[in-house]
Amino acid sequence: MNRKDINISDTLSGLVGITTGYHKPGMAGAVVARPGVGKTPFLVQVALHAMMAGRNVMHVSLQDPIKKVAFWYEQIFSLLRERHHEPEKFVTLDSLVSHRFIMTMHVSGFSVEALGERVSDLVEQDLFVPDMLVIDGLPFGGIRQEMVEGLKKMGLDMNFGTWLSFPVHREEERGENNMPVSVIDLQASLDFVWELVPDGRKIHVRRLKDDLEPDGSIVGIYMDPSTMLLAVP
Amino acid sequence: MSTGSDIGRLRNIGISAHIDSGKTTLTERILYFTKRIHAIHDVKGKDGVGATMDFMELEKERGITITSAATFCRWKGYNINIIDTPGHVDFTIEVERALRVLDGAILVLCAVGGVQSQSITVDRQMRRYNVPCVAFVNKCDRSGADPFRVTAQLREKLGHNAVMMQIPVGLEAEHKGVIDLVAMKALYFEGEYGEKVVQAPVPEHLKDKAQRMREELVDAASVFSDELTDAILEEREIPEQLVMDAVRKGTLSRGLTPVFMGSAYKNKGVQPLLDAVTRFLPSPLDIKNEALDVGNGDIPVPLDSDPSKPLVALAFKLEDGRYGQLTYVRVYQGTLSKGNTIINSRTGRKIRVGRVVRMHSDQMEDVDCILAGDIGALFGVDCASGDTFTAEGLSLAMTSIFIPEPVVSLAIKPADNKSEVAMTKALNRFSKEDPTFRVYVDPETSETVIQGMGELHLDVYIERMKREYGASVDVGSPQVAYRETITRRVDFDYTHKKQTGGAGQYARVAGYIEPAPGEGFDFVNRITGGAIPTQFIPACENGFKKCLQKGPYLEFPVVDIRVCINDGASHAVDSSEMAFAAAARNAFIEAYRKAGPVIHEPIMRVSVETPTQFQGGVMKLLNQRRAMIVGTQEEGQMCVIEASVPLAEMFGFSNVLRSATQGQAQFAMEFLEYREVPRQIAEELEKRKTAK
Repeated sequence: MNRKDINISDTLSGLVGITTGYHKPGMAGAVVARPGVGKTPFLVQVALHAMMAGRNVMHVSLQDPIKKVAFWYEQIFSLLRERHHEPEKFVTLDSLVSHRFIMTMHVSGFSVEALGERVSDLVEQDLFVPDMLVIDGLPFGGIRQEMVEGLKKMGLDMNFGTWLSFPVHREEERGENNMPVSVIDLQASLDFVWELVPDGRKIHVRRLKDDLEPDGSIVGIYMDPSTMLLAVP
Repeated sequence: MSTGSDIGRLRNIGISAHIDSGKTTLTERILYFTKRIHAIHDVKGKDGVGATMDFMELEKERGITITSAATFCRWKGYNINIIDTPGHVDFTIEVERALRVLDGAILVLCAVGGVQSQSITVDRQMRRYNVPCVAFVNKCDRSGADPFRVTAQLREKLGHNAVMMQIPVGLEAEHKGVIDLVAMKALYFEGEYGEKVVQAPVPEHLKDKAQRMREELVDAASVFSDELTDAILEEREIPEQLVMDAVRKGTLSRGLTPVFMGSAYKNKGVQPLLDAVTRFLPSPLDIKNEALDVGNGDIPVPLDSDPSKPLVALAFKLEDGRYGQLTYVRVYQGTLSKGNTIINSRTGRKIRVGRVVRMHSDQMEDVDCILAGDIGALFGVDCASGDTFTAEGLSLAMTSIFIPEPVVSLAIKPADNKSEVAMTKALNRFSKEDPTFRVYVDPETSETVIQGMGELHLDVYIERMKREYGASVDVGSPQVAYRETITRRVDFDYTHKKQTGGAGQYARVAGYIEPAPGEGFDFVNRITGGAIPTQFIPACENGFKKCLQKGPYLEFPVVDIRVCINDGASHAVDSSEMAFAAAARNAFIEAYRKAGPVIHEPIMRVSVETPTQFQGGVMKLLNQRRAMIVGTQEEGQMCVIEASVPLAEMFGFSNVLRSATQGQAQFAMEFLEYREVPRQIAEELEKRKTAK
């Protein structure tokens, strides 16, 4: 499927344009937020945007079972569909799920090597070839710089970009550019770090680091806390 | 026999679990310790006797439990009815029926295998019927046993608020007993069959762990008891009873699942589990049951577990045993006594109650009556599974049991004349016993076709025909229940005109057909001004309906379609019901072809559990079967692959899977939905139809 085949609104099309620019092969970026702010729905939407653009997404969850991850997709998708001016003409989830592969692993059993083995297995057998990897549910301080480097290398070899999510503490100290200290060690390896910041009415997406847009401070999208849907101002 | 005053000391429980997690062995041990049997046999008995609950020969041979047998036992002044339920997913109607009549369940899990694919299906069923349960982590003596991991899986995979009530004293070959975290005592099981429970202080090396786990337990239980919360906050000594009351409250609301452990095979941990059944699982008084008032618009009516009230009972299982037809009943209200006259609310027929018995596997004891809340069996009662019996003057029916539609069919024919009679007898019996097993004769081929929930489901009935009725049958290859539907709206305007001498035929119908997802068949009459006289409208509807049984496209049943008529014409002399039925039929066939007919096939939700090293191979196998792989779940050395696969591709999958994984993988499947078949498959089906 390619972009032309799918029926999405202009607003959504704009969002798809923004987020899909961030998963070039070998790139790795992170979405950080306090627990409960909405990292998973954010990543699910980024993944859905990629799927709508005809790209294959491998969603690796270190916290939730397959069913729960699939449920997130269903929920977010049905909201997107409802928002569409002609829901009955909107792309169907059934036509998108062939672009998605959910893999759940225990945090304790997670390593870049183990993940690499699984992905190569799928690619070699031509079962699933990811264009984008989403790794959700890493615990606080659950990833080291060499792991990010490993993921980037794997992405470069196998042609995918990686989105990660990390939790940060409410009272966590901040370094330069407001970067949480737990992420400082990783920032050299990450191509972008976006933070979800709620202000009561909106959940803003703030750039803490962004090699693609070095001078902007707010990404041109926000999340609506009532639906968790992404929107453009 | 329970009396009115001791319904509170009655437990109706099921033992549900994954195949091979040892539930039949556990039941066997329970019967031994409650002195219902006096010797212990294994499931695949070396002594050729087999476990007592698996009384059908086939079950003994395959080492699986197919028919749930009810059995009764007593433990420390409590009466317990146990229904042994099948572990294989193809027999889930058995599990569903068992869960419908039970008040609580023991969820047996293997300490090595943990929460397996079938456990997930069984758990879903328990949730559907809101059955509170206690978990028993069995096989703690096996190599690789880890009850802590299994408890974590109960939380993560099944979403239970699982709380350990015990921790093991040693595991694998060193498994000696358990520590009771409420009483803070170690329990050991001595004697030849572990019949003597010996209490001892908690071993020194486990004291810290036991203390920590007890705190977790008390903390989890405190959610259900303010008194317990107060005791914790005030740092008072916590009485055992307070903890147990809180755990019971949590269990009854399904807010908490207490976890026990041991090894049934090695006779460890069974007696404390029986204590748990009496302490934490509900009595019939704790459960609210409702019946539907059939004569009053199916309004739900609460039932009262009072033996003195008018009778309401449910026939939940039929068996054709060596003593004739046996009907298992659960009495929800009133008393079912020998010599009483009762009414079958479905047929309205009066029945005189003959023998009333209490079952112990395939043996029985005669009793005079069954009181409210209890389970027993009747002899010589003509009824179907799921029928409600009431006292005269009541018109109540128990809510119907959820019955899935069969998805596989198989043509069978008797191998010889002798088998023909036996086969008919067997099929009559099976379709009465099992509502998911259906039989019909194909009018075109005159073949007898049986339908069921899966290949194994039908296999078992074929085997039973042979063994129990001596009927050998020739079996065709299994067929999938395909369906047809349309994809777009098409208008029709058809005039049926015939003038062949004598009275002519004239009818004109006009309207449209359109897709109506999820609605089966919807007929809409929008005729105004008498364009079609009212008396001919039912004939039109029937004409359309007749076309649905065999769709004009590939002769599969047509579903999810709306037919609307909005115009027509008639003739004062030549119009008749027959003419309008013919007009409707032809109009439908004409319009249907233009409406983009498509074929739908049943899609199954399949989960395969395999050692990680076979993961790639299994995914490839699934992929070759048009599977949509949803994802994989890593569980240490094992991984679960979840996929949706067309049923047509799943025939023979168990053999292929076994050989591809050295017998180490297993799978469970259940019906998910109907979905359109790909163009290529539709073409194959078209070719097959033309070849016929």
